[in-house]
Amino acid sequence: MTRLLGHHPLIGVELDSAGEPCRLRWEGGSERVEVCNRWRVDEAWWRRPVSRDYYKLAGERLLALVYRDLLDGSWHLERIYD
Amino acid sequence: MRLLHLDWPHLPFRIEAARAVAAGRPLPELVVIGGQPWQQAAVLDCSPAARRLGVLRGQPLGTAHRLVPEAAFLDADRQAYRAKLTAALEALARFTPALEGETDPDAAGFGRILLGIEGLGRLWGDEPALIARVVEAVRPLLPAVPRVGIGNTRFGAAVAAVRGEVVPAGGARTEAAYLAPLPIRLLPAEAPTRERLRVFGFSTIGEFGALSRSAVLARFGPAGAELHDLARGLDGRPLRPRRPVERLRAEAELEPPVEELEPLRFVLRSLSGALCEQLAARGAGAAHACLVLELEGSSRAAPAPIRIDQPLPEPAAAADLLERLLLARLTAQPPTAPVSRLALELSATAPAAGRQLGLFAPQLARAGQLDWQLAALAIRFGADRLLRARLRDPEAVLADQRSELVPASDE
Amino acid sequence: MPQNPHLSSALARLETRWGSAAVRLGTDGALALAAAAEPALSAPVGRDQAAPALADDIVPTGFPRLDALLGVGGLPRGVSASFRGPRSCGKTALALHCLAQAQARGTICAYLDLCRDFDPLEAVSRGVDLRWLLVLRPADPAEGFALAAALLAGRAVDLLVVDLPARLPARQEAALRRLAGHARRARVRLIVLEPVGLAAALHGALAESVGLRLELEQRAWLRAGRDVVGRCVAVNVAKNRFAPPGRQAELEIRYLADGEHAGALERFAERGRIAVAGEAEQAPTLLRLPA
Repeated sequence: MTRLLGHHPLIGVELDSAGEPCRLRWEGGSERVEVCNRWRVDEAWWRRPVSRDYYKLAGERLLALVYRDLLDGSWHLERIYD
Repeated sequence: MRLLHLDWPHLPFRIEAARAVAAGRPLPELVVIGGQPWQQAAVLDCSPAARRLGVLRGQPLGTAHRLVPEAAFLDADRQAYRAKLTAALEALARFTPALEGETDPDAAGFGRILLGIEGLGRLWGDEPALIARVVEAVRPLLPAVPRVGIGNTRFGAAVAAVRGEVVPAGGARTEAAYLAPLPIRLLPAEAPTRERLRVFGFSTIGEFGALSRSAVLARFGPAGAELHDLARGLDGRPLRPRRPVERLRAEAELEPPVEELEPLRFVLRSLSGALCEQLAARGAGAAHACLVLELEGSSRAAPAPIRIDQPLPEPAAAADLLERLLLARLTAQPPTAPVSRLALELSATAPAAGRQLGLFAPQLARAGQLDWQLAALAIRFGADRLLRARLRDPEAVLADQRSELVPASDE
Repeated sequence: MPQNPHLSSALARLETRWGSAAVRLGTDGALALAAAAEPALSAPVGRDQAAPALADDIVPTGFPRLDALLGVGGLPRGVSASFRGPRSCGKTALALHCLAQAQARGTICAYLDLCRDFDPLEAVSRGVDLRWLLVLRPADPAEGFALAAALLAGRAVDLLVVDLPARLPARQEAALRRLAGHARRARVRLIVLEPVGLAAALHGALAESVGLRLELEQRAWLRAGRDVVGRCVAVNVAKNRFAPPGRQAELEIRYLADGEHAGALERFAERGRIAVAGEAEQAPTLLRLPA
């Protein structure tokens, strides 16, 4: 089951030399992660544009789906797999 | 729920054939009813011989003419067909008010009548006796003997009528066991779904009913899921009676005017009890309640009456539940002045629901109870606190477009 | 299995697409009253794990290895249980499997969504029937507990899942205890999802109030290439009113692969009520109560 966070909170993401997320910071915690899947979403450009790079991140404890909003560069948490 | 299904297949054609015989000029073998071949209209009905040659209801008359150019094309006397079926319904209304029949000759259900016969045994005898009485009642009014069947669901009763049988009384299991060995073509599937069922090799209703629901949904979609429910004896569609909508109203003068809620509750209990007894005696329930409180005041300065409109979760004649819901509204919105007159009106009446559905699925048996509870909780906490989830577009790329949460009381 | 070659072929196609749990036939020749709820994503039944014979009021968890440890084959009526573990340990998936199993046995369930992250689509993928699930979204936890207690008192709901946020204030301890009491008296199954890091008072209240405590520990990820498709989870039965505690089972919790929703799920056509068609209205029949 994944938990779908309704408000997509802002998170901190460190990138490795290849530009991929390698550490996730959220709610005062920090966890080393690896990218196990990624895809891009470009939607609804004629209404409210949505352009995101999604990353499925696996840490030792956490499996989460995050995205980078390509319009403003912010990182958000969308799902926690539980 | 026990349902008696009466079925006159091809009723317009039978009416025309009987009329022709009565006039001393029997119809020819090939007959198409609906108009003349050059008219922009569709076939309403046709003779068996014309059907064998490919004429279908709904087909353009021109197409029918190409198939059977030598047929007699008759104008449809829709008024006469409607009048005959209406007369039959009037005759059957004396058996039970729980009566449904389509009187529009162009509707797909024309020629079918459904009676809710729960509890009629004491009045009309056992089910075989009831069938005999019902058939006798309509015999002078409609041509030919109808196909008759009794079942626990609309679908079961319809299938039983095709076979001239009576499904044993019981719940979904009983219905499903009756349907299981029967040919799958009896399921009311649209052509694409019918073809898919054939491709998958299902030959009986039971084989299809044995699949898991998730597999059915995935392969056959929502339409397939509905057929799957029918195959499993789950058909919660209630009767839609043809009786006119009734409104019942009761009122009480309060002298001296009352300010506290407890005496108001006592009066409300009396009013709701009186109205619900009336409904219950007819096997009916109300789906809407309106409470009006007139407040004391001088003739010039009297505050406006308070009006509380309360939809009910299901048509019911449950006085205690009604009282509790209305009292919850009064508690949330107490009158600002003494009440001099109380009026309660119940409307949107229909056969009392809920209990009938209990035979079909375990959750359905509790659904009525839950709905009442949800109505009360919505008043207390707000309708936006108790929600049901719905899938909108599972294929949407953005996750928040795939589903939604809506107030449970809206469902 | 039936001998009909056409049916066998159809079943084989379904199983190839959806897995071995996709097609279930009634075992007694008659049809099951409710659809089999063994979700396609659950771990397969081990051959050496014979499922215990279930009483009518037992709801299995959906994981036979775990059911075998519980003493009665699942969750009895009126039991309160807590599933405790860190994020991504699988406690939510486990709760939803229980919920789906309960619905398959004809119950109506509710989910108190205090974390406001309930995902209907994922729930459906676990076999949950949204028609028979209430989702409670209160303004705050206090309202949520009051709402849940009122719902339980009506006895129309048979299983309630309570999703506790990690930052739930300790002052909710009394409300939590009261809710467990309500569930016990109403004979409703209560499943509390307890995050690690919950205030000590709340953790203590749960430890005392529930009859079954499962502690979930994360083990290895299950991978398909680079992607993570599930997780091995060790479930420790820390407290059990029905059998000796301290036993452990290892489960595999699998996730629906990203982007597979379209293939895995069907749009739900909600069955709406048929409105009774009214004909011409008449003036109301007026009754007057005798003075």
